[in-house]
Amino acid sequence: MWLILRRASFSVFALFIISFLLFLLTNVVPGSPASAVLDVDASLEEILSWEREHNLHLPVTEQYWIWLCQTLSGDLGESFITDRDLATEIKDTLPITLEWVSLGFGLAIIVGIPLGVASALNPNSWIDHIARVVAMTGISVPDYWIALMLISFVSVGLGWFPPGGHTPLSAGIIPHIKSLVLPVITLSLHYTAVFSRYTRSSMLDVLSQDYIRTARAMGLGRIRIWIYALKNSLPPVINVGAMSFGFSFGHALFIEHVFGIAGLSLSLLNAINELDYPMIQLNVLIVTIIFILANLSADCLNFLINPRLRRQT
Amino acid sequence: MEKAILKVIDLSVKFPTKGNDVEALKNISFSVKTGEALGILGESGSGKSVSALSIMNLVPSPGRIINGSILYSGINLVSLSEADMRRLRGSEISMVFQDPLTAFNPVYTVGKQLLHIIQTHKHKSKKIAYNRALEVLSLVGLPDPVRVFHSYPHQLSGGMRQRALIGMALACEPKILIADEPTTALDVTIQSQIVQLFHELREQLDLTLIYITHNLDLMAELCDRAIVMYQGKIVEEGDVKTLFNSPQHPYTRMLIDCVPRLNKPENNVISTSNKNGKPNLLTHNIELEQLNNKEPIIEFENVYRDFFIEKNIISSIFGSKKTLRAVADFNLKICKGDIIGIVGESGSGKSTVAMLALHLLSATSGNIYYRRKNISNLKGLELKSFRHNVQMVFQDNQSALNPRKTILKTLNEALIIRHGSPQNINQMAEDLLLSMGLELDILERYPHSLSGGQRQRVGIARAMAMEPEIIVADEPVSSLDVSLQTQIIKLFLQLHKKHNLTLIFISHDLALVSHLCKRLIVMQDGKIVEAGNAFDIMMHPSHPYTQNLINSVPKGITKF
Amino acid sequence: MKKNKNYLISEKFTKRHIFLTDFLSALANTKTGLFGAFVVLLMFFLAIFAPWIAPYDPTLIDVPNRLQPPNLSHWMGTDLAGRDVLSRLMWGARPSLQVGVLAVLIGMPGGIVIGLIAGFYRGSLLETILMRATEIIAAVPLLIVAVAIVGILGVNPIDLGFFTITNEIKIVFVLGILYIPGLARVVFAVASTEAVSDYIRARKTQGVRDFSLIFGDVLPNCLSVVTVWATLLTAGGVLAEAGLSFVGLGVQPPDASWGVMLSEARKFIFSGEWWLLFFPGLAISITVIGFNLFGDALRDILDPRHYTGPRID
Repeated sequence: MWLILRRASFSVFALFIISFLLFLLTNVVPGSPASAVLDVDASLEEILSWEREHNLHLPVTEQYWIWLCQTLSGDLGESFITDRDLATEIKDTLPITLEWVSLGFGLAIIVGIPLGVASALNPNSWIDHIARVVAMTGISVPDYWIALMLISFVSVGLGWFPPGGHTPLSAGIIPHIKSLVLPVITLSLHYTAVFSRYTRSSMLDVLSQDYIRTARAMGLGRIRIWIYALKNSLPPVINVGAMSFGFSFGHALFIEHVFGIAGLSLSLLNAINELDYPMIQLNVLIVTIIFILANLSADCLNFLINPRLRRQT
Repeated sequence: MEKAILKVIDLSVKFPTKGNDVEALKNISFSVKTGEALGILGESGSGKSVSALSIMNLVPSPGRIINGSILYSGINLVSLSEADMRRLRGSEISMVFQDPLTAFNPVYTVGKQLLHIIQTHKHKSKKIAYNRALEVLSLVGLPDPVRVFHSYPHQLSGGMRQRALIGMALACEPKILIADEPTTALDVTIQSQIVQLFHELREQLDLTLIYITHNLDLMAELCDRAIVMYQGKIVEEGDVKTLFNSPQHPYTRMLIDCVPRLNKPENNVISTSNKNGKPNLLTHNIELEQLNNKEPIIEFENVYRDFFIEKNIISSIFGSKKTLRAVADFNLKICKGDIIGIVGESGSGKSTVAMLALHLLSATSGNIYYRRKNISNLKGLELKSFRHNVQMVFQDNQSALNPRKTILKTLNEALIIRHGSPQNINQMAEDLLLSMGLELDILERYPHSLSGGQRQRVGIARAMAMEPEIIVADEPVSSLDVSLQTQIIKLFLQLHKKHNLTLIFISHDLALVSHLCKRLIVMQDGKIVEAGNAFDIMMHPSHPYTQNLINSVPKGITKF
Repeated sequence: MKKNKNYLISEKFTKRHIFLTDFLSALANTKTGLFGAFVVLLMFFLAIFAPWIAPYDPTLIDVPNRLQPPNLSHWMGTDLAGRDVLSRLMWGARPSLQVGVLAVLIGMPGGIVIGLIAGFYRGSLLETILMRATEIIAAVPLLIVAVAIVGILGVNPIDLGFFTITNEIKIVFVLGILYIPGLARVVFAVASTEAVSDYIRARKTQGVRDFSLIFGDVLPNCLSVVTVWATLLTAGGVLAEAGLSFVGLGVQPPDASWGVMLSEARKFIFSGEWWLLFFPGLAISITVIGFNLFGDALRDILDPRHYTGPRID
């Protein structure tokens, strides 16, 4: 129990530090965002007054404090560029990304883990070789390339799925699913590979342990031994899974870019192109929060599975 | 007459490796009679474990049984399918392994694992299985079966775990129980309890026992018949009495003669420096008198050492620190030329004393003196001299030598510190190596390609390179084969004679220590419970713990 | 036991001699390892010798010959400006490998030193501070942060007067710093185990000081994990560089980089110029696969448990 709380509080601490660092970074860059917003030939007074409006004349620490108080009280502010309410931006884009990323991730778990288990239980068989080849390609081939190839062959060539865009649920469930298929498959290819590899190595490790030998010596059935092995090999896989979930937003960025899906990651890219600092900051923070939450839930899950952690020493 | 319940005929097992195939078993044959206890005796590499694993068809891949048959109740186990074999394992033939901690699945309670086994072979009903589980746990002498049932493996002590493991093996009432070195990982007192347990179980259950060990005396206490294995072959077999009284094969003879035995402390090596071959106790005592009147070279004065167990950062800064008192009230004077043995079981604090003597740890309170100077105050040249003069030899495992450095580099490092950077440093390393009885071609090799005995000699060479006055040896022969142990002990004695080395010898092996040391101290829970001349203590132990220790050592041979 | 004075060969030669031949023969035993090593060498070769072996100037514009499919004069066809795809591919190896290797080199010193010190002084306040600090850096998904930081810093070279920071240098530094936690964690694991081993204690009894112990005795034992990790990180760096270039944050057109080539190829997926899409993606994939396979083979070889060499018992 204490372990989880300790981790959680440390994560919150980390969050503060990261947000501060990001804040610092945006202030280090020479040139002012004003020049991006206002017209090219804006006068000096106009620039200065715009800066004053946005508190850019204050020292960094003060700016950060103001931002912190605002954000914590729920006011996420407006974007420099679009003047839109950032909170609405997030509300519009986050669910989209969460949905398709979760689907892709879920698919990867369903396919990847059994593949890794089968691979470990049958070393050097045909299934092992296939699994390892799939795994190696999956982690090495860039997703945006796979995305483009998929579009090129499946979408343009065969016409089965739309080449891009995101059809919301409101337009009907079948078109919605159809618009998600290609991006989901692209993401899951990479993560199937990750899960397969990791499960395989974790299982192999466990299968060479003494207690598996003892279990066999006591005549336990095959399935029982598989369960014995799984219960011990899954915890590290869960940890890696949680970390990967956070990382998957990085991959999501490229995939949304290729498919033109108006999700959280794409909005980050847009914000970068437009130098929309508040948006960039918020975006990164949200992804970090998701990452931290994923890690914490992995810890909780492991806690339930592994009795050793429950012991209070 | 008794029938054979198990017959091994012409069994051969091979381990294919890149390069040469290793023949672990070379056409061995033996049989086990119903109800008897058969001992399999051998050192590492003899194939004793492999033969047991073959019976269970659990030879780890890539090893394979390439020849032979194993007959059990008329069935050839080698040709059985895996599914049929599984039915036999645990229910008719059971096996207990060496390390009770790793034998249990860490994520299930002991009880759960027991239930799985019982339900697989005997009773599907959970209730009946549960009752049987409790029955079995009390059968193996566990005082609180219900608590053990609901405990996780890491919550039990080593002895309790081994009992539970034996219980698991017996839960389905097998006819044959194979035990592969089941007590090697345990303390000597626990060891004797487990052996006692085996005795009782044999009587109560009419069990056929196959007991694998490298310890002669242990085997003699428990078994009726024995086979001796060496490098994959059976070199001798017969009933235990004959084996001990008139061993035929030179290897068996070597094993019997080599091993230091507890019951003949007259063979204490120090006192055999007598021409007649009879121990000269008078000289022995005079020597000790002289020792005790000299000035101490190392002295412990009211030494305590505590270790803090922190919960987390918060508690370590603010709150309650749990402390473990590893050493308490330790007083000891060691003089030059002394050979002193420190004996105790795990947790007795003997290793901590070694660390303190070497100043790798500091005393929490009390003083340690080197040549009458407090070692925590030493600086500069005095510190340097202390460091050079007090060296350590470790229990041999991979970690005593830097795996990334050649033997030459390891020795040279030490020589450079001692002598600066002399021209002929390689020559010095060569000489050092030769004086340890090692061959020169070792110099270019890395530790992992040497045998255990070789590594240990290198460790001693490294210590001697510093030309020390005192060597602290922490269990230096525990992980070596019996035949090697005596050689290393002899090496220590040679060095002692040649350089008048002071030796502090730490061990759990009473028999060993009783032969080597002039003086002895016995530790329990961080305190000295008995101290004095080795001979006196072994003949007339006064403290109950010492008596218990001596009684726990297997004395197979005294039976005869 | 005769003393043979000629027996002792000079130290330098013996040490390397024994390790190298063992290593090479072990490598030759794995087909995948060999393939990986071959790919790695090939890519380095291309990157170094591109100016001499590329058939055309990668920036040579030849509009009349634009968008030609692979033919005899252009083995991989031409792109939208008539530039030879093969030459651009060869030159494209440069930025990818540069970023991959340099980022690792930047991250290595920091990661190794932190891991060593934290591992050696495990349990102390120093270790806690160091490892927690690295955890904060690692708390954010790598790609997201890399994208964000590079984006914020802008794609234009920053002129510091005496020194211009090109885009590539920015990427290299950002990635390098983000690599530090991973390296530190891996080194920490090894260092903390080695630091309590007996041979370190033996050295302490010889009076050797901590500094020499850390860098003279513990460090050599960490090198194998570092090498493996470095290879795998290089693979990641190649992917990262390609990805950043793909979204416009890395190498800028008209310079050749595999990621840039892919982003240029996007416009043509609907019109069927498959060679623009296929070859650059293939190049990235093969390079990354090669590094990954090589790293995996290294890991298997350098694992001490794996050693099955000559034993004289």
